Amino acid sequence: MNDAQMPAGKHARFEADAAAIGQAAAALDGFCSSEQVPRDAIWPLQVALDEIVGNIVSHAAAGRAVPAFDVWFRRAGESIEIVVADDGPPFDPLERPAPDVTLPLDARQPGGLGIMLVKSLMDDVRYERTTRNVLTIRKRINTGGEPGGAGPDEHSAERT
Amino acid sequence: MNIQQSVLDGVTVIAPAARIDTTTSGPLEEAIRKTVDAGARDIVIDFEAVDYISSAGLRVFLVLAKRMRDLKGRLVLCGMPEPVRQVFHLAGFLPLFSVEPSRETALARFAAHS
Repeated sequence: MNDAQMPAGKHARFEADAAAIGQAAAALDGFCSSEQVPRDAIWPLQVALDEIVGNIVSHAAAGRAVPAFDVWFRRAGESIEIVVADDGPPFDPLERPAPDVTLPLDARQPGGLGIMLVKSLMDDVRYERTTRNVLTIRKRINTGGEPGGAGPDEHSAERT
Repeated sequence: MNIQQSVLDGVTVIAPAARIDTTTSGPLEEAIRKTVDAGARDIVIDFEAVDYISSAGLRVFLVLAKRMRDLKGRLVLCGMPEPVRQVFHLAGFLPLFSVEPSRETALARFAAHS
């Protein structure tokens, strides 16, 4: 990705090692604090970033060449967007089959839950292959308005 | 990560704090494994001080649930704040566990059955 293709926003670059997971989480904390993101939107972003960065680091640890990755944090209107770009081989996590979350204990395997959580907790998730893997997640935030909801939407059934 | 452990009337209460994510789930899994290895068979996990949990943390509790069933132990989860409850719900994990609102009601389950 050259400069012209760089997404806008606060940028951080990390070596793809275990320490990067905590560093990326701290960078998100700092961004949410400076943007005064409401609490109920922060934790879904934290979970989603943990899943995405954890995935990149585990791929790097498995010997695939993923030396470093970049993260951009930005506010886009009434949403927070995070863009994560890595140099690993093409990998679209959205193509993973959804796990069956109705199976009994014996049949449960932990695989696939991470990306399922990302899709469920975010309002939009997009994958793009340029010369890199570029994953963009978006979470709407409520700034004022009525407490507890922004009106009917496809996610309202998930709220309790 | 900060993990508080106590034994109340023979029930081991494990209370992790802050974040259960890719970074902290390893130490948490190790602490729980040691506790079960040491003989704990009645276990309460109290989530009250947990900010959120990601899939790395879900895996820890899936492994624990299977192990406790194999050992014929008893496991109760309690004190789930909304972010934790929501992630357990989305993953379809709530039906796999005994879940109580508070540490008191969790401990009462053991008192009623032992």
